[in-house]
Amino acid sequence: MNTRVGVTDYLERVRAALADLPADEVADIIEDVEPHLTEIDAEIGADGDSLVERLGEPEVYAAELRAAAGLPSRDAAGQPQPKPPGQGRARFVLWSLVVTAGMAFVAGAAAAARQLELEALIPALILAIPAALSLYWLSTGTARIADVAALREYRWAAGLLPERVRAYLASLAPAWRVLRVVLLVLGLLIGFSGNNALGWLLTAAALAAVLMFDRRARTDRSKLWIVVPCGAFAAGIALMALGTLLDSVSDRDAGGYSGRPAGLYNDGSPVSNLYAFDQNGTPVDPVYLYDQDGQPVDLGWVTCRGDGEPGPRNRFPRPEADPTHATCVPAPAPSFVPALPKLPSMTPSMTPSVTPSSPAAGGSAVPPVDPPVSGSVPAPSPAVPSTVVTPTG
Amino acid sequence: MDTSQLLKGVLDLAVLAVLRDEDGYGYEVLRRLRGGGMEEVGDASVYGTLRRLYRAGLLTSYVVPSDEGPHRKYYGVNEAGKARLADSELAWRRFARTLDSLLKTEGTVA
Repeated sequence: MNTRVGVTDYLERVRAALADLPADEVADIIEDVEPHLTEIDAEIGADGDSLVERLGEPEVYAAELRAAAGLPSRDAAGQPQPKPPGQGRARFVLWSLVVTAGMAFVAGAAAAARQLELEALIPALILAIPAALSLYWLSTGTARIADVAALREYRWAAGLLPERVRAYLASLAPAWRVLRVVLLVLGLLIGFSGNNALGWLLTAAALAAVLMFDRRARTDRSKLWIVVPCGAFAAGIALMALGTLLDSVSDRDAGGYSGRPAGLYNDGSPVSNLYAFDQNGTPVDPVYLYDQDGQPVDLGWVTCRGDGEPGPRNRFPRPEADPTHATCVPAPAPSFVPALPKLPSMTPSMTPSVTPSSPAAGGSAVPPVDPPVSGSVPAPSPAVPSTVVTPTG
Repeated sequence: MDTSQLLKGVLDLAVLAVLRDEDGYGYEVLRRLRGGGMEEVGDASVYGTLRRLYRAGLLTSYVVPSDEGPHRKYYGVNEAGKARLADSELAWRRFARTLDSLLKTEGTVA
């Protein structure tokens, strides 16, 4: 029995050494060699000699047989002949993955931005054909992952990152697998609706492909040609989502709720206009307002623009938009009655008109309470009055 | 000089010769060659030569079931093989004579 194992073993090694030859040629040779080995093995019998001692190493035996049979030697056959086509195909396979993944990334971003046009899909699909062909070649064994990994550009790219970095990135892979699915699901749920049916369909397809092939891709690396473009698509979605998020954050910083709001607020509500009254309830129009630093008070947003002259923005009451929103018109008289503070001899007036309701309150007689009220513009900014003059009517 | 180098050139002729009168399977061919004095011929060389002659259409082959062990593949010389054998035999005799006389001449000169 032991000797029989010797024959099988020897025969297998011969077969392996001939593996590059056509299958029927190898079968014919083995058909000759097997009885030969069996017979010699029987001759040797139990007294020690092994097939190797008698015939030499199986590989040497195979090489001698090749030479005598006029078959190409393994070096001549194995190396230069199939290698260049294999390499060319491997190169095609590798670059098709790179191109498809790049395209999927762009498509993912476009889908998330709801800008995926049908016309853009057609060249994309045409460019995806090489990836499909690569997948076919890899699954049929016409192209091999080992050849891809042996490519100069692949080794160069792999050599860009130190071993430790690559190991670290590889350790992130499980997290990325989960994130990828999450991104695609999010894309389905929130991102694309209505007029973006194409983006939605692509996302659904990518999600389905990832779910179907991810597990297999870990053992069958040819499935990477499906999974990697889907991952790139998800990354595109992530990029666009991140961009949108950053945009909204910076918008908020510029004028939103956080940070410093523009304009003037009164009890939490934005102030759209200001009306000034003197102590008698008489409207002061116009009035120019400044803050403690002499900065004009700016309500921050304009309600109208156009042919009309809005004037300096700290002139109050501000002009308002007429109903057509085309031009600025002077603000109407206030629709409210100011509740003026109760001054000693002063009764609140019912209307902002000149007429005081009580004679006692008298014109200029009584109240020295509010010195700065009278007509002139307050002091802080000397620059203003000149500008004031021109626009006001 | 190593005779195995010489053998290579004439192995075709030798194999055809030992199969001329009687068909034989691979190991038989090898034994006939060794029995005829070609002690140094390698096992694998004989099998390789058989394959090559067969592919060249000079040999027929048929399988004979064997009671013990695997079937044996027998080879025999067909008409083309016989014609080739006749040609090669002539060429060999001519070549051998030439070399013979060459060696003799060289021997006397030296």
